[in-house]
Amino acid sequence: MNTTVKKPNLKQAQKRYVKTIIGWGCSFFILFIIAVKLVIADKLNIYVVVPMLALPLLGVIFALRRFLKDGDEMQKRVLVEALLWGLSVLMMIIIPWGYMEVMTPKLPRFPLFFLGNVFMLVFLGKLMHGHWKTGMFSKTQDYDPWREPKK
Amino acid sequence: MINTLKQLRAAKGWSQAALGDELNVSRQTVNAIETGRYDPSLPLAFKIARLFDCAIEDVFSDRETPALSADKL
Repeated sequence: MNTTVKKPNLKQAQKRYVKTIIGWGCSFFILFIIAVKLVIADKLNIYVVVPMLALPLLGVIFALRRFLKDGDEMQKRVLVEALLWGLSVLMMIIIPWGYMEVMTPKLPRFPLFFLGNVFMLVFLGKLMHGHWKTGMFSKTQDYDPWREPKK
Repeated sequence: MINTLKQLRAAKGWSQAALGDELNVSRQTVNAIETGRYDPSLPLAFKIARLFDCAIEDVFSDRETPALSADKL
């Protein structure tokens, strides 16, 4: 009995991934603007706002997870490497600074705002570097005419 | 790893994009395999060998045991 599960078309998977990421990214910024206005106007509890803003990010994580299942294997590797780089740099800041902040009164509180940006900067930088290294931005190296077999 | 994918593809007259479509991978992946910047997974290596109707060893080999030479293609 043939039980082969057919994987979804790669192009469909890539399009769906890009669309989902853009969709959730845009919803985060729209929700963020609404939340800021509502919190300033004292119409919304800050403890409701933060989990609400985390929901679109959960969507991004699910989109990444789905891409890691269906996507192109080399692009997956580039993505995972970029995520690891982002995470490593984040940990290098969080762990020493965080422990020192708790244990000593001398260190100022690290602004959380920068952590997300540091992660995104490293992640996107490494993602671009990975794609550049593997030839995504190179010209299409299509069929070479000089290699055409003699008839 | 070294491979003869570029020669095999050229023998068929396919573009990298066309080969990528056949294998359900991106053109970028085909390009990276051909230039030795990426070693494919075992399932993909099998898929490539099946597509060109040859053994995996004919397409991929380590540096010490060269793959099938171009004149044998």
